[in-house]
Amino acid sequence: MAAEPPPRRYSDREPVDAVVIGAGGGGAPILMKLAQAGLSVVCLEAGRSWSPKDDFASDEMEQEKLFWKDERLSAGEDPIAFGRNNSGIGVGGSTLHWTAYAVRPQPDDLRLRAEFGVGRDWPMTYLELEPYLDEVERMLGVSGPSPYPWGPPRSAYPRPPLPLNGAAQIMQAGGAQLGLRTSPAPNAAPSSDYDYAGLHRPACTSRGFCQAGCSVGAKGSADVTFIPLALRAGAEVRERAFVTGFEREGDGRLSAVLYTDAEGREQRQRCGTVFLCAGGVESARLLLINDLANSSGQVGRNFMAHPALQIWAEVDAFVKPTRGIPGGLISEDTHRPEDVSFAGGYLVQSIGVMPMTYASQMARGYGLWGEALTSHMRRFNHVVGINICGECLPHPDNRLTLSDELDARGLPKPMIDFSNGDNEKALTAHGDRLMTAVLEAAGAYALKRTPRNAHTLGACRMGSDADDAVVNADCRSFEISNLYVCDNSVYPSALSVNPCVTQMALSLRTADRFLARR
Amino acid sequence: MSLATEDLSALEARTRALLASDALTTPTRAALQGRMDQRFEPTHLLSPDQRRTLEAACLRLIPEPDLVRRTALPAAFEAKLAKGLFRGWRYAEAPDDLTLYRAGLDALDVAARAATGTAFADLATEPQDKLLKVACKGEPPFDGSALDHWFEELLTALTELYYAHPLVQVSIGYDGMADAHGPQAVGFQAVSAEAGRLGR
Ligand SMILES: Cc1cc2nc3c(=O)[nH]c(=O)nc-3n(C[C@H](O)[C@H](O)[C@H](O)COP(=O)(O)OP(=O)(O)OC[C@H]3O[C@@H](n4cnc5c(N)ncnc54)[C@H](O)[C@@H]3O)c2cc1C
Ligand code: SF4
Repeated sequence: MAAEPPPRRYSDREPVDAVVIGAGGGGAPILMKLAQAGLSVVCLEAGRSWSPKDDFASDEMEQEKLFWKDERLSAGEDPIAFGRNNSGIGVGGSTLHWTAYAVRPQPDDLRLRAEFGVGRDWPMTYLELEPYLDEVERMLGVSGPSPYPWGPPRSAYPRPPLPLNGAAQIMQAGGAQLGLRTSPAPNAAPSSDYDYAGLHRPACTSRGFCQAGCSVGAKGSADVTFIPLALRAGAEVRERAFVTGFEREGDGRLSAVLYTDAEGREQRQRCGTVFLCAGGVESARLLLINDLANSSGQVGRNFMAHPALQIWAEVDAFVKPTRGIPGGLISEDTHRPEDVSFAGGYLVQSIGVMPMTYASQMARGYGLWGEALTSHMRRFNHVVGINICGECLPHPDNRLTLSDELDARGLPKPMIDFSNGDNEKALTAHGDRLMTAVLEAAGAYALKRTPRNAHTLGACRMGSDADDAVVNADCRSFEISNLYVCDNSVYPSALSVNPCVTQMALSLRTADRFLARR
Repeated sequence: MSLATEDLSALEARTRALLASDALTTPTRAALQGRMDQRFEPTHLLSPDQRRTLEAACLRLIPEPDLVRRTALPAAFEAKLAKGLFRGWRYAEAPDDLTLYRAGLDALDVAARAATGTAFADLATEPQDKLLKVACKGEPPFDGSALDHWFEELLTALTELYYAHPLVQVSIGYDGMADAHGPQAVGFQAVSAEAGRLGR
């Protein structure tokens, strides 16, 4: 490979065309597109950059450095576990430890309200997102089945599916018994070496540490895809730059972003446009702290997290649950189940797991302790798991607010109230019955349920009505014409699929819409 | 193999040999060997009574005494507490970690003395377990927001520390850290073939 040019440095005295806040699933694609269009663009990222090969160990505790650790307060009937479960920090953001499950939404996912009369529709159609979804799958080097069994025809995945681990084979066998259609899942890890856009990535080695960072650089995380391309095109990524505020012109437009640099000094970067991509919690928090873009009162409201019940079971076979791409198998037969009382639907996914995470789930989520815990953990190599990822309706009282407690920076800690509503409960009960049947049909036993909600969505939602949403279909603030928000917080509905591929596609579209306006 | 069939020194030798082998990448070896030999300075965060209660509770929550002692689990927990547990969130009703854990350990000891006249740490395992069961359910005297989710937090923190230790990992037959040789060597293909034998 040719030597990389030295990274670009912009002076913070000169205004740059754009500042992107956050180098994760939302920010990285925008950074790339704007730099490729020739704009001067700086990304301010709270975390540092990593070299997967030198810095990532195959060890969960060592890799806790990838998690966002500033304290969040969790309230409501179903308090959300953050940290390991729900957010990342660093150049790459949560994609550094995402599970690489690379599913697309189906067209009706974006029309929940039109179809069921609840929730919200996305202010765009699937067709508008489709070319971007194609682009994202090529960028990530997704391995998946072609043709894909559910939804409209789609372009072939760049690589054939990865091998199935124990849990995937159990779910496949159970599904076959019950007539539930299953398929190897699309995963953002190439099943053979992958070259795209001048970037080389090796094949996935099935080590199964996706949620702790991919040390071989196979997984399609932003740090090995969008970010290097952005840097090549002249973008600057300023790491360990924690954004705290903004400066405004007389007309209300933003003129600079304020941040604390790696040495703890207060800095300011002047800019023409701000893309706020700090993730499902921090974007809303920053807007609330700075009292920005919130005359609708919608900032922080309608926080959503997918119902994601996991069921674990034991099998006689020796399956080593850590090994293999974790999300090996999928079924979308439950995308719109018939004869049910709830709106939307869900997907079913087999899961792999690392030992510390599993033990933690057994303790916190299932309440095992004493001899019950230690004897169960000695069966670790015989554990399989499956889970659902399902629609979550927006509810105004599921809400992110600022608490009275301050963190070490002197900023108010975010407080997140979350309770599953009737729809989420009915959907979860349906998934519970189905997953139980699948596992039992495959001969698995000693089932253990760990209830969970996953992903942080919705607290700055997008819509077509300024009274009901924070940003418009272009992800631009209704109030501040040079402020964009584009990350998981803009989701108007949760979609019955995992969010990352859609996020990246939305970000590419947002960048194009912005460029078209210039 | 579990400890019932293997003594601690054999497990230790087996683990050290695995960690020293070229089946681990350099960063993985550094992290795990460091943890094998980690020593913990005592802190001033817990009183001597609280520390005794913690040590006794550890042995009931994770009843593998040889390994709990070898991994210095209570001291590892205390050291983590000193650094701040940093799990990234907490139940909104609960006090900060240090206050919560101190209150929980005190409550356990007070409950033991009230019921039996004896410190929790000096009780036999059966009455200890009985009290822990009450604590687990958050029933009186372990209710109220000062003890909100106390048992769950302590159990989870100890469980994570314990199962992150290479000796414990090897004791349950886990070898996921040995992945330096790529797909053929991670044991994955063999597993696939075997998973065909489903269920009982
Ligand atoms: C454990 C886990 C597994 C997942 N698995 C999957 C999966 O298999 N499939 C899937 O589709 N999705 C998955 N996701 C979700 C996926 O990671 C997200 O959809 C995606 O990363 C969202 O992008 P984002 O930009 O909203 O947030 P992030 O990717 O989290 O990026 C936000 C960035 O902003 C930075 N930041 C925050 N505040 C500031 C500040 N004040 N100043 C500067 N920088 C700041 C953060 O450090 C972070 O880097 C998973 C998530 C987690 C946590
Ligand atoms: S399973 Fe594949 S993608 Fe995941 S961490 Fe391992 S090599 Fe990377």
